[in-house]
Amino acid sequence: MKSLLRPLVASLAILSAATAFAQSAALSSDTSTLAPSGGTLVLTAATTYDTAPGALGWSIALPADWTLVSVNGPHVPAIAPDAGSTGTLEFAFTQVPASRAEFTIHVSYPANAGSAQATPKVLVRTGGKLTTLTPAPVELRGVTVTGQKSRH
Amino acid sequence: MLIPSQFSVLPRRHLTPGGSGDGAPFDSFMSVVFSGRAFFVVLAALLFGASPALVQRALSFSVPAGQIVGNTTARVLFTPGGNEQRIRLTFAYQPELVSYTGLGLGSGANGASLAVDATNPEDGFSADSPRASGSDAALARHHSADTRGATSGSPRDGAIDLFDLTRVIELYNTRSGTVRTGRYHVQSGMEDGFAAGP
Repeated sequence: MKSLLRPLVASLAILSAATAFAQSAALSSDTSTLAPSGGTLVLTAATTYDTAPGALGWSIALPADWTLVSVNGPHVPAIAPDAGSTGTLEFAFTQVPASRAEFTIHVSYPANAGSAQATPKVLVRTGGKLTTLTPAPVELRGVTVTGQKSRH
Repeated sequence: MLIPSQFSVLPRRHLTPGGSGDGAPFDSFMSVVFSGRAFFVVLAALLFGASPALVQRALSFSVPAGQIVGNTTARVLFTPGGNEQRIRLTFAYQPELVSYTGLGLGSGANGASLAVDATNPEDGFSADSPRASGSDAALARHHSADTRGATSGSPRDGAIDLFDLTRVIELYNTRSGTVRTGRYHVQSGMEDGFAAGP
């Protein structure tokens, strides 16, 4: 009987620990398709947690030739790159909102952009422990010319 | 106490990360040059047995307060300087922990690269030309906020990135009840040797 209870207790302990510091993050886009003429799109970065961490940081790796236009949303990070920045964008909250942090970035992409993805990474620091979350990248379907495959 | 009425802080030497640059020798420490009357004052102090460290401590009254590490070994160089003799007193000094939050972050993929800057009165570092994030930098010492790799054994990269920044912010956000105190204490086993709280 004791041997049967042991895995159950261990599972509950793991579940309890995971629940105590439950946190998740997601990156989404307002579109899944890129316009042939180029344009802008909105990426929404959201993090949820049970207890506000001591620090929260996001990095979003943009495809080449993509450019940050603006940062908006209900919780604009205090530290954010300037408009016009390219490459990997890094954001950090100096005061982490309670339970959820969400911000949006407007980015521009060039005409005839091929399929691409924006890759996020989230650093959550709580009680001296660092947790790195890797939300799914945002996949964006690029320009497909009739008779050709989309560029990658 | 020495009052070096004629002294100057050397301008920043050019840092050559990755072997590029103008090839000038890299001086990783803050330097103060004494000439004229100050030269003789310092020389006399040294000849009469004052250690470089003692001279350094005396200097701490003239250099911005709190910047000099008291127990740092000072190097004294006698250098001919045209028509006058000079003494270069070289020493390390204490970088402040929270100096570069938000500096250049996200401007491209390079984060905020740092170079030792003897002319910066606050912590002795300045922004450097971009270099690849995660790459090692040819710095003889690193900013105290540059903690990546401090426990993993990998080399520090001479850049304040999101990893380093969030660590400083975490300590900044240390609270006592509803009051943010930002207090920290020494604790082994942590990535930077510190933990939040008094």
